[in-house]
Amino acid sequence: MKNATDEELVQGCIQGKESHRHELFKRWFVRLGAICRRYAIHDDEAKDLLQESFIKIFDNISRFRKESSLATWMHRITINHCISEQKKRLKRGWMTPLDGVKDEGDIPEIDEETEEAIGPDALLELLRQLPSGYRMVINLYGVEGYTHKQIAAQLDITEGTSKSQLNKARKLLKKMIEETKVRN
Amino acid sequence: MSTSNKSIDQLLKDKLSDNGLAWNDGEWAAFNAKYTDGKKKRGIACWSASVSGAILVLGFTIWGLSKWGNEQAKVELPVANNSNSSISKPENVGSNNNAENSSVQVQPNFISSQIPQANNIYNNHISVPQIKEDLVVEKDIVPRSNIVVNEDKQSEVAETASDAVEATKPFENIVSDNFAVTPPPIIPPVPDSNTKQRIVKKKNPSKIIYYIEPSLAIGFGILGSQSIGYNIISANNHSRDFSAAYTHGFGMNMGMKLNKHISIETGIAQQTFTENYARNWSENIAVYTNKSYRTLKVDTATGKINSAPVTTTSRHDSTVNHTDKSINIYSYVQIPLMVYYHTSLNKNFSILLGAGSSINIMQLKNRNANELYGYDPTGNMIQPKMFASVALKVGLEWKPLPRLSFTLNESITMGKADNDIYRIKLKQYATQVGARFYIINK
Repeated sequence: MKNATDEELVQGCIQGKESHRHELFKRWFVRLGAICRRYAIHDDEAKDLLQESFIKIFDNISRFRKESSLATWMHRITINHCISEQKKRLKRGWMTPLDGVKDEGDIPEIDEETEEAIGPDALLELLRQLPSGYRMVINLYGVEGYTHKQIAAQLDITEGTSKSQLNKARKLLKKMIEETKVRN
Repeated sequence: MSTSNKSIDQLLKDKLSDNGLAWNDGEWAAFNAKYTDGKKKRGIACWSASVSGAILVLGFTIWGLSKWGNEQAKVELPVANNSNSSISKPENVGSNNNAENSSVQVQPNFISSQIPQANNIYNNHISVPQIKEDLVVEKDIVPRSNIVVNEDKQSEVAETASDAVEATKPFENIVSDNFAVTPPPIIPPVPDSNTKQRIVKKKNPSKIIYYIEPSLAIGFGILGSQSIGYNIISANNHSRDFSAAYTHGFGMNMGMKLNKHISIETGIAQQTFTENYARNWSENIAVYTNKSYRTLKVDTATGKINSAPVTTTSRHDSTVNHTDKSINIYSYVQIPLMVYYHTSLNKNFSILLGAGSSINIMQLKNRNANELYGYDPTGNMIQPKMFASVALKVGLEWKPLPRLSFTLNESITMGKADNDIYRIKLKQYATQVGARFYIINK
């Protein structure tokens, strides 16, 4: 089973074979788990998000039409589920439109020394401390590579709001990283 | 800007893209339990919806067929046209007091299949749908002896009637004179102004049906269970027993009344019973904390959970004396299928006697309402337990409005759930109050 291709695993899952589901789950647990961790505020929530994403994946795997890679398809389901759950939780009012803020400003940077000083888990903890709106937008734009237009459509906000949230998120996160470095 | 500097976006991408959750074998077990549990629940929900849908469709079909049947079964006396209607119009009846003129005249164009229907007339009503306003002539107003046949068509009738007499026994008791001679008048002389009152006019077609049909109704309602009342649940959970618990719940039922006395009902109800449990006890225990920081009490002698998870995060490996005041919550979903017998006390009240069975899915919760699941020592979720139960009910239905009723039921439910985690013998005495709305009310 370990040598099975993604396509074979997909076929097995469609046929309802538990062994294939198990292998697919195991193979993608870490990578999809990384997505869930970025959107959740703690690992228990991330685990719930991951399990629910896998349930959606297994329930809909017969609809996977191979128009994209399996990885892309599963990523998309997971991200969409994370966004959907966050939106449900936060309802309205979790983002405040801020017109006139442009995206062309300098993207905050950190130096090599700071980068080395902060590990992945520490960075994740700082990311989780960001306001929900900031965290969602910086995740989607900075890590997933979404455009502001796509983010606006996903989150039901304007592009201007997305840009402003991103700028604020970057600046706040940089400040938090530097403060952490000083404390350490 | 230094070339070695890195943007925040890039930093996040580099450090967090693969910073996933740590894998262990328990993850799959936990997920698989949740996945299969969800599939079961979806299956049950689907089954329940299908049953309810089938009952609705069946109900509407039977109702439609019975309505169609009624239309077909109306007594339709053959008439040539409205102006030569086989029953004289009210004006004619009222304006003449002698027998010959006020008698009902039947057109003699019978065919053999219609003759037995004509015989039924005398036991019921006569319906003449073709007349502008349907007429119902009570049998005591127009006796069989008043039926005359036009003389010019008499020979035809005689032929047809004699064929029919051979083919249909019920017609035997009708002598030929009945068709030929008009006996003495039965309709008493009345003033013209009153005569119309003796001809019963009915605009409602259902009233001119000449036979009694099975009634049919579909209703649904909400049952508030145990909002008043009590339950006794005896459960044997390894070494301990608890005897009383309070149960509350709610549900939606959908039912169909098959005839005047019998109805069937199904639906879905959710119930929770809470065990307020207190005792002093001691045992060898170990408390494990799983990755979700949920903790478990485990009997080290048996290796099994002997009560619901506790909220402490400490670990014990020795004999511990306890004063245990736990609140264990068991939640279950009930899908009943009941058959009721109805007896009307009067216009608004009726007694219900019901019997049936239920499929139950029981889930152990712990005292923390946010945690739906208990966990076994390996960190796997305790699986919900499915079991069957039987129920008997006696109830009172009050119907203040044609389409709305309120019910009060006393029920006893018995069932048994048994697995490694809990063994529960369910004996539940419950009072249920509910409301029903009748979609179809005949």
